[in-house]
Amino acid sequence: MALPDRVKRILLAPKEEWQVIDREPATVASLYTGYIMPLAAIPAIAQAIGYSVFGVSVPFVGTYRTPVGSAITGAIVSYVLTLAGVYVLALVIDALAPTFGGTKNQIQALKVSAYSSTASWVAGIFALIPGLRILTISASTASTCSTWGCRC
Amino acid sequence: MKTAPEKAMAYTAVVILAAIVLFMLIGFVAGSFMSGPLG
Repeated sequence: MALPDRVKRILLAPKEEWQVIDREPATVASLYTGYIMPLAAIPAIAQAIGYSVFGVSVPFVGTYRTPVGSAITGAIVSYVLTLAGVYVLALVIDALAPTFGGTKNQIQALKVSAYSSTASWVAGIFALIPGLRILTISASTASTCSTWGCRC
Repeated sequence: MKTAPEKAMAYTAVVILAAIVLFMLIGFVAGSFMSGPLG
């Protein structure tokens, strides 16, 4: 399934889409190259541009703009750690499965870890505009709801 | 991956908690690479 379609469906009809995802064959590589890597780049790039171009308002200091080099370094570190974090979360999900009466399945765990992060990655675009950064927090809540909706 | 229905909610809650802790940690580490107004 094309990336925009998957994103749209997971955000608008998560219950149905989780069932499709459940049956869909996938590999670690296909999930990373086809979904996780492109989407995880959104907040990293938006944050780098937002903080270096528009800056952040600091009381008594005014608008502070992060130096471009520092913003790019931060974005790269954030991106790499996010990619690693998705995998670590999948390992946690997989490891916990037997505790809750489930069977271990690393690919299914990675699917949950990846697809449930969709809302927060897409909303990462709001990091571009200082006044809208608060919306990224709302999106994280939506991601939480998405995880809740999957009920692995 | 499927769990018993009565345990699904607890499983999801634990997973969400783990995700929050993990990604807060990532945000903290990534943020430390960006210089702030105080240095």
